[in-house]
Amino acid sequence: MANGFTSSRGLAGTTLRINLTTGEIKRYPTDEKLMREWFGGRGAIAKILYDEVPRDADPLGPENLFIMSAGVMSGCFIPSGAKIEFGSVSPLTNGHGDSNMGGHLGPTLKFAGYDMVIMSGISPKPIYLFIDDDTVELRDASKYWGMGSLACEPAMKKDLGEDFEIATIGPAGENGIRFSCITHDFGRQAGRTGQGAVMGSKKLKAIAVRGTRGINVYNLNKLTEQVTAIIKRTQTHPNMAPWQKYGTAFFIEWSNDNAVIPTRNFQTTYYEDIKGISGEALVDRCLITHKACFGCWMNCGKYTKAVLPGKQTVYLEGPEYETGALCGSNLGMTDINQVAYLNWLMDNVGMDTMSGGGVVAFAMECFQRGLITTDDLEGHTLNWGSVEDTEHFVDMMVHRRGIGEYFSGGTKRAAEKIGRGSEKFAMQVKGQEMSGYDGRYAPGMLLSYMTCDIGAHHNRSWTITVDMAEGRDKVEGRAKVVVYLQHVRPLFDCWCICRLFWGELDIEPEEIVESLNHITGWNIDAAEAFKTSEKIWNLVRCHYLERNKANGRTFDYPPARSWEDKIPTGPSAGKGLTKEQIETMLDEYYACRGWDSDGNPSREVLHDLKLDFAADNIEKIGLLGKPLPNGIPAVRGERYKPKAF
Amino acid sequence: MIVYFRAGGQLRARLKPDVDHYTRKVEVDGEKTIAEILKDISVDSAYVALIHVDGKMTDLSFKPSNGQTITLQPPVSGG
Amino acid sequence: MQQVFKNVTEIKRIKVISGKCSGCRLCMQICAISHYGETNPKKASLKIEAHFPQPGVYKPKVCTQCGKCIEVCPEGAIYRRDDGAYIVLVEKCTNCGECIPACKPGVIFQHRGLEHVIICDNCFKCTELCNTGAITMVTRPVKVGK
Repeated sequence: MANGFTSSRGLAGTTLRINLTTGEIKRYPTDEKLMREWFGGRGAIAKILYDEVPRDADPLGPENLFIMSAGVMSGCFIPSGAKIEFGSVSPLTNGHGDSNMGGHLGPTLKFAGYDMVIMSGISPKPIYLFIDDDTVELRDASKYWGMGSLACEPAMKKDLGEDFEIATIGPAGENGIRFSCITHDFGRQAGRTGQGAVMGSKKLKAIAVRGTRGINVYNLNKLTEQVTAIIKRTQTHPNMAPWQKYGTAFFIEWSNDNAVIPTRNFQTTYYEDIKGISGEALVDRCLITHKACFGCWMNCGKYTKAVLPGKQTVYLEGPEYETGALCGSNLGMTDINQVAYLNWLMDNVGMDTMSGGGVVAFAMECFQRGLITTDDLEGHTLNWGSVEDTEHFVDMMVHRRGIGEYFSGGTKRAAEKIGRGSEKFAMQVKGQEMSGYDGRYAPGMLLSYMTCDIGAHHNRSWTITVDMAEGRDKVEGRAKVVVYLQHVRPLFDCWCICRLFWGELDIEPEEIVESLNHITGWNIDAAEAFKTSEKIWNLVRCHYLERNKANGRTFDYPPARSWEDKIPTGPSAGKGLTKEQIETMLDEYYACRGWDSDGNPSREVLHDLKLDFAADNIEKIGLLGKPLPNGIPAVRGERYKPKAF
Repeated sequence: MIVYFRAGGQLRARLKPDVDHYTRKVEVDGEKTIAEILKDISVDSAYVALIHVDGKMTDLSFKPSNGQTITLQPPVSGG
Repeated sequence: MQQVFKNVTEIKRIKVISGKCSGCRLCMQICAISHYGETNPKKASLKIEAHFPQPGVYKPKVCTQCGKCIEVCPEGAIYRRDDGAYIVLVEKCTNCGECIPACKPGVIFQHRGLEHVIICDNCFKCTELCNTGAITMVTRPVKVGK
């Protein structure tokens, strides 16, 4: 028994609450009702943040919480049951923020006996969280403070033991760079929403966990039977072998062929030098090992080395698709070794490679246009395709020197300082930089960015093949697909399993729910799962409105490049959306969700989702959605089946 | 000659497998590229992100031989 | 002329090709599940050594059936089965751990929830699930004395 609490039904049994200011550590039984009603992981995090973080709390201040949650499925015998979810109010977006990572930390936290750790306050000195089964301590981290993430992890493993799972921040997180990440297992990151900055603000350098317990589930025989069958079935799935060989980098060329790859800060969507940075180039020139997360044999991780003349050879995991695009074509790099080197650089300083690539690209375009000069860059240039320039600029940001200070807050804040029309090409929504797909000729993708709860991220919804199938010039009908995906995909972040395995190998949501039921005994169906996800979505929206105090629609627009600049080159030259089409997509989206035309949730839909308390709160600040003339739609979001022809 | 196409995920419905859950058998007249064969069987190659033959990546210009299996992979829904 | 023996049996063991291991630990999961009914890598009878950041490879360590554990066990609590597996006699094992330093690949384990050591018993569920071929079951016929 862990700390007196029994592991059962997928849960480890104990939740920790730690006050980092006082050092007090409390243990109590994991709230099973919270887990059931909010699904753990992202859902439980959303509820706790909503209930406990004051609306005017500084995300980098003591009142913000930093939560890690391993979810009900992580660590169980379930394919890709590897994830851990981190959450806090995001210093990038000023709303609910969550980000997850694979590797082994989530399962190990549960093997140690803990489902969730909730941290408040700020430590008076650098510490790391040490968990070794029953022992939970805040230990002095002064010898590690200042170390790069990829250097810190082996140092800690040497000190503590190879079987400790370690997650760290780098100097970027320590210095409050708002898009800092958390790194684990030599190359897995919780990249988005600046969770590393929140850790750094709390002087929390690292988390080290070892666990020797098991996890009990509701019906192990049925789970083992189902999972063994899924394992056998997916071993011969056509996607498996190519996936295992290339990881997600395999479709970099496809994105280019279909003109959605961000090129030089999304100035265009087709990159002439794609071959040099493709998945094939990665495997041929950099690959050492195919690397897996706990319980997953897709082995999508590619452990590689980057060899560049004049630079030390570096070892890293990646680049995967997003980094390949955002630090590759988006920065004008031509050689996969350059992209891999920058991947290592950002992983080591502890900077999200997606936002990092986006911020550097924005700065490069500012330099291109003369909005920043070599005087601003300590005598350096910031040219497309230059690793040296990028490395120097990253250093300026990490140490917040000169204009590095502006950019360390992300492209939105940088554009506010730079001005002179740069806001148009700060490729972000709500303060978080775009993922590696240009949405100008993929309207559903653009809508996905606009309406994602954590800014311009694809994790919640990705629709490029839908856009291709339904017609890229047409915007009508996208909203219901986006809404459906925004309910399905975050479920993986609640349950702490990997969307890539479960979503790409012809496994239906009903089968995943069946596994969930074998683990938890909850006996729910897919419809209930989607409804709970919708509930979480709406709560997060209300939280955002309460913190940012304006109509939701205000925050749901993409940067003006999205409608002002038609794509200049490549297969989609001349294409792009109009502002009217963007407004139409938003109108359709809000109608689909049961929100009013200002983008505010209506009382009817919040009542349907048992969120009356949230309705009362947004009503108090004048942001409750107006009553809907036709009532709420009966079904919000529609499962999309690709057309067969 | 006969070739086999295998696809899963988003491509499976488009392929219309007839041999097993993922595989379609196609009769090909003469020597043709993968692009040409896909056009003949009405599979839009725009949804094909990666082509694998005998464990090696290839492209739409590849001309398969009798009995070969061509694996078509759709893009991931975000990586 | 080759002598014919009366009895022939098969030795089975796990063969490792390290270069193929991706570190997924499915082998360790199914080992603990099938023997102890829980996901708990610390109750598995094999381990995966991770060598990172350099050279960046995983090395599965499995029982090589060398027999050193039997030699050092003071209680006679381990016996060698016909198929080559080294079986712990749970009722005799005192969990003294003498066998642990004798095991060269380091795959004899103790766990605080158990009163005996853990040694691979040749169930091969791990090799059935390994997707990369890093661990496979191999057999060889062995002639047994008349």
